[in-house]
Amino acid sequence: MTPQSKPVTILVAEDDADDRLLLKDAFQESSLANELRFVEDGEQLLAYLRREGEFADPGEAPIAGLILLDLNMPKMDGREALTIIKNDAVLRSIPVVVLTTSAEEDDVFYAYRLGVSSYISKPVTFEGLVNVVKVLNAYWLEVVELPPEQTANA
Amino acid sequence: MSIKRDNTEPVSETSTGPVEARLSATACDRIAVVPQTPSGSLVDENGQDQKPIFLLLQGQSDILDLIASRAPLKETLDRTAALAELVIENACCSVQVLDRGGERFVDVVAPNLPDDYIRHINAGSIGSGASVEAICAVSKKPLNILDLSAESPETPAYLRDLAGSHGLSAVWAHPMLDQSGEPLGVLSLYCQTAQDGNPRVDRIVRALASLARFAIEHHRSNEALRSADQRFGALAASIPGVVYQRMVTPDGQIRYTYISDGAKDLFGVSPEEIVSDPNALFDCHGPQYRETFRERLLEASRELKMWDVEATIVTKDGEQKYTHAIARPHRTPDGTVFWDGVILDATRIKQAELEAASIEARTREVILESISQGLALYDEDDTLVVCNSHFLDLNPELDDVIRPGVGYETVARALIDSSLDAEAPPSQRDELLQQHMQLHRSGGHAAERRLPNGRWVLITEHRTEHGGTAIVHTDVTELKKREAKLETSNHELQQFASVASHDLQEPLRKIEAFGDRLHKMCGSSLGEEATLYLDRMLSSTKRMRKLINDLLAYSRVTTKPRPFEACNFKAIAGEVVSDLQIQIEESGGRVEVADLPVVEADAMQMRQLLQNLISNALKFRRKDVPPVVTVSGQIVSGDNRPAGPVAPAGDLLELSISDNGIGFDMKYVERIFNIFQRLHNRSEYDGTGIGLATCRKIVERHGGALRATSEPGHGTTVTAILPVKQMLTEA
Repeated sequence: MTPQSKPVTILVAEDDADDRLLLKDAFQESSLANELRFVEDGEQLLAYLRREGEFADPGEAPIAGLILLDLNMPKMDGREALTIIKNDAVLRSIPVVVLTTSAEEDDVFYAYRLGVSSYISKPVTFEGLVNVVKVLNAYWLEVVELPPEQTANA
Repeated sequence: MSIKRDNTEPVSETSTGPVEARLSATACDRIAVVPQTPSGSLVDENGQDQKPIFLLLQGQSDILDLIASRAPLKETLDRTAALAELVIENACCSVQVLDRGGERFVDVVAPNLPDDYIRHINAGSIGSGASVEAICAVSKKPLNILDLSAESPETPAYLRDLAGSHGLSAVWAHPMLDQSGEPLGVLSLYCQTAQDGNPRVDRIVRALASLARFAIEHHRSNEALRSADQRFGALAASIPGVVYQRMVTPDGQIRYTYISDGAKDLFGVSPEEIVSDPNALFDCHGPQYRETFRERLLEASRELKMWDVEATIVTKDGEQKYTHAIARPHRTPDGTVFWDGVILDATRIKQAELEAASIEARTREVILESISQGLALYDEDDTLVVCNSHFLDLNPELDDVIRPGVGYETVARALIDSSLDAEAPPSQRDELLQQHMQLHRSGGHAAERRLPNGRWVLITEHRTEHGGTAIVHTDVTELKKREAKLETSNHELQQFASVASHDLQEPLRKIEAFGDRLHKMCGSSLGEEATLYLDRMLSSTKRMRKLINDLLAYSRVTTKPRPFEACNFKAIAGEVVSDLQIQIEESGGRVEVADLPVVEADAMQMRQLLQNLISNALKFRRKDVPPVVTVSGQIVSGDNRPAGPVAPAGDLLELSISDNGIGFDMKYVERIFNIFQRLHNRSEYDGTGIGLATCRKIVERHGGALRATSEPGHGTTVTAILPVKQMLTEA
């Protein structure tokens, strides 16, 4: 694999359709070519990563190079999903950036203890969101060397 | 015949002893040398008949017997006069007794003296000299006129006149003087034949006068004694009780030498019975009393202590009475102790006392039982005085322990035992008890205790004025339940506030974001009006977010507290000032921070407190006056603590933030600390009305209070009063 041969797929776990729209807009605004994939809760996230159910077809679930994770989601929330991912020998190497409205100390401590790469509070304005996306891009997609892509089911 | 006046000194026998003894002695001397003639008549060596002498002796002895047997004075004097007439032939004898003032004769005993004489004797006071007896009494000297028919200026005229008609031609008048030489009376003897200096008559008159004097004096002293006795008797009888004298001999014998008639009334025992056997009195006190009484009396006699004894007695008739005896001891040289005392009937006083005590006891009982708390009262020696039935209701396990006189420690041990498992080791019990006793001794304390039946009791201890302890058990089960309910609902409310705030922020953020997008993407194509609306919408959203954030901060004072730690207020204030630098510069003013102490508090909240107060002070500035804010603090003694919900003890920090701003009318002072209360229009001074409410919540969580003083147009001082040391332990 050659670096930057193909932009990594970014998997976004976000239950809120508005936020998904805003994120998509923000990525567009930042003119990023990365493929954005969305799941709406923790269960879907795990199903995607494990290529289970509706994600069984590899075409449906390109391997994620970075996960943007909301903490408050229905069915299985981000905390629980995070716990499972970070305890999974294969999935644990995927960088997880928490992007959430919660600024609760408890959540921040909890997330870092489980091994998230970053914890970002959702910016209030769209401008702020665009800024976050740009920074994420600059850091995770241009500066940092991500682990080689592995298929979760390899 | 010449009148012979005896010019000897006034007669006084006091220095020479009883006349009759002398007389008898002389007579006896004579008798020893007088032989008895065959005819039985007594003749002396001169051949003179001695029979009258013996008659005189015999008579004197009889009269002395009369005196000794306290015969009436008149009878004694009568016999004396009769004796005189017996031993002196053809004589009339009279004895005159003066009244107590020595003014006139009151008793005249003259069995054979003619009335003519007696009239003179009785005529007026002796000072008038109406009779030979009066003259004699006044002069206090014997007056003998041996020939009344003879012409003499010193012979009273009446005597010469009467001498003719009654044939009494001589008189011997002899004064009777008392120990101080004052006249008691006069004995006079009239003879039918003129006697020429017969020494025998003179001697007999002298002797009989002495005898009569003795009779009168004896009579008078008897009379004085009797009247003193009567007075004492009357006095004793008027006392509502008994007057007594008792003696305790050195060998421990107890005897009543006198006890007044009141004994009959008080004890139902006559004085005579008691005098003859004191047990008659002691037995009224009951069989046990007799010995203790004896011991006490003997001890008091040894130590000569005042006797002051209250006792219960049962009279012979079976009536119960209370007596109060008071007596004073004095010891005679032989070691006998005499007690002079009174025994008073204290029944009515005692009954009144008992009644009062019973009323008091009933009142106490009513009060004790009418309060809803359990109450136990211990005296200064830590022994139980009283406890009410609620106390036992709340602590049924104490049923076997509680009784008057039981020690506090015993009760405490029983309570500890009942609250521990049966398997708890004795060392644990001892330790708990020791801790408890230490608390108890250190003064009042309060504790909550869960009873075995699940109820809760608040136990408070109070020192009484006299060093005793009052233990109050209050059933706080219902309070506890309400408290728990309140805590749950409080908790739910706080959770709601925090969750609501989060969830409220979510749509707000969207409105802002999409509004922003709209502004960015279509701003140029929107008309002026549409842009204005969009701006207003977005500014409202900002305000909404501020509100939510402030509300979150308000609820976090209690939902997200941090532990109390030593806070350097100077440093915190410095940080806050630097955070507010932009605001300060914009206002063109300054914030002066004085030296501030280190105080125990939640640092985060203190920061928030100072931030809110300083930024308020900057915000409410006068339009053209640059704000000057002073932050100062001083430690005040907790003794001068202000009224309000302030921590119960210890020194306080008064932290003041003063400004030179617009101020406010003091009538709003209560309002400004309430949530959502604002005094100004938002267009003038922006704000949510939550900042000061949050400040108050923070200060109150620290056991402090928030105060403000202000004057419109001059500025405001907000003072936070905070305990220097935190004693409150938070649940």
